[in-house]
Amino acid sequence: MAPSKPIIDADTAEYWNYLRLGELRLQHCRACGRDRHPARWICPQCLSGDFEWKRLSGQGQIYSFVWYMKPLHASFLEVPYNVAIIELDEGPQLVSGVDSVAIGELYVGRHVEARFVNMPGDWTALRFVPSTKVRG
Amino acid sequence: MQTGTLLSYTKVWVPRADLPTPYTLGQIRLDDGVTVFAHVRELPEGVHVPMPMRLKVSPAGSPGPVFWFEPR
Amino acid sequence: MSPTQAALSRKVAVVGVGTTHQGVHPGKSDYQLGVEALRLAMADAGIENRHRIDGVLGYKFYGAGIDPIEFCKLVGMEPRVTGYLDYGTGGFTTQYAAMLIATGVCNLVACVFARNPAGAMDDFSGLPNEYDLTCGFVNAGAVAALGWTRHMARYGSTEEALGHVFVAARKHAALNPIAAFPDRVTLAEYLAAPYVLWPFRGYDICKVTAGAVALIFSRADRAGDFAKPPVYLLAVGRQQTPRMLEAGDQLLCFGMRMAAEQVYDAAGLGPADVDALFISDASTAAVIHTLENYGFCGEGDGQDFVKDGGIELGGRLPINTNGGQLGEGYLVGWLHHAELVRQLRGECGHRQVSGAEVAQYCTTGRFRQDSLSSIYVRS
Repeated sequence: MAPSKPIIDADTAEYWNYLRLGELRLQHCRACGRDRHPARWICPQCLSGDFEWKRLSGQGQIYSFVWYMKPLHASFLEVPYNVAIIELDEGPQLVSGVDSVAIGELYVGRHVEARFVNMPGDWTALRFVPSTKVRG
Repeated sequence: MQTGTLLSYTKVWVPRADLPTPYTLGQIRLDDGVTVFAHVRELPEGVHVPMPMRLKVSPAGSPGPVFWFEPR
Repeated sequence: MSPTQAALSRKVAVVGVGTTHQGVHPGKSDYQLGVEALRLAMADAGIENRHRIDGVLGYKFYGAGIDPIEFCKLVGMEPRVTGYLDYGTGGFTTQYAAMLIATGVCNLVACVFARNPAGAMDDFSGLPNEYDLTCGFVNAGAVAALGWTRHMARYGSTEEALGHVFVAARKHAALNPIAAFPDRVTLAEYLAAPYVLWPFRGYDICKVTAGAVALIFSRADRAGDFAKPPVYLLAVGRQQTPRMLEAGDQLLCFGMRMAAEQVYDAAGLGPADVDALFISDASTAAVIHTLENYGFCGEGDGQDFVKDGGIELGGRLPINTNGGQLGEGYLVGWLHHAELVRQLRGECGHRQVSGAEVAQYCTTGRFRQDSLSSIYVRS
């Protein structure tokens, strides 16, 4: 796998900085209370530009996933690998991948938790692994 | 077709490595009716359009435009 | 019917269609193919003078296709209007053509699309869409695949459902002389094929092909002047759902439900009235999502609807009698329009749906962020 360094711009810089610090933070609109991802300079719900970077627990569930079985891109020739949509406990969804699982071990609804993985090129990726927390 | 009429022209001052600054481009209607864009050289001070023009071809292997037009 | 919907209803008709063979066209440019298709469409319509056409719409898809101004330069046409949409697949471009005519801007619009891309017959459509290179989220098929994983989890649908869709597509393509993939595939062969992008097999994602298609639209009140019986546009429904990957269930294409409500309300018809259905099938899963969201069957029941030949010729509701993008060729839904016109004219031969009077086309755009459906009728 050769994940590319993310495109870091004015909207997303803080997201990646927090990942580097080992924190998953998303924008939280102070006007209407909605959390959002991807990062934007205004809230798509109420159009307010007033937000803060809210720290999330890193806990979530698999909303959906796929397994790449054949190489479909020059940067991702090592297969199989998965991509998953994670529904975070706090509500927002984001796209990432789940490590430490084999084919057949992923399922919709499986609990996962965030891991912060330092990458070459001086950035930190957000990855997920099966949750270690016991869920009641 | 060796001859035509200059319909319009412009002098370009934006430098290009492979061309002199300035260089002139013109729209020439050849006498058989086809209209072309080409380099234009040797336009006189008081140039006015339409102006009769003659085709010039550069020797093989020379740098610059392969052909251009000059006043007849 | 709302006043805006009434503006389109029966104001526009398709009077000519032209299609080349789909597959590979060695040595031919997009424009050569496009000229072929337009010639075929004009002959189909009985139009001898191309200067009667006062609107020309083209489309470029991933760098290959028809720029309408360049096309007009090539064939010496000087229409009132040229245009193309940044996302101009089947229903969207035809909606644009219809609006030009319904507003009186144009009287006769030719839509021309041709592609001769690298990778024809080998590459999957949608390469190399790069959604997120930090985690390897690439390829348009992945979005559809994510939707199917969700569908399976929510409704207990199975891979066989996709297999039935593919088998039907290839059955229809086998009857279509211009199809790129005329070989039938059995369900067993489908299930034996390896996964490419689990839960999708290679068969589940349509392949890139080369070919051309042209559609000629006319004012309805002049549509009788042409060689063949006109096919009238009755209604279009359209809805955007831009935050698709953030809003969870958009993966299940719920935006289609809004387009469905609009088009059926405007047409005064319902799913039960449709004789032939055309679905832009970049993936097999798209067919199941469409059947459910448009109300052809209940939520989660698509897997049963497609069983036992349900969507094949002779079945309950034939879908994509041309073979669709999975079997005929990938010209982003334009070919579906040619076939639906031929169905309503009664000229599909072995592929004919007997007595077809109402045909519907359904698509999504920009990976489920745009949903559209059009309904056409014979008279």
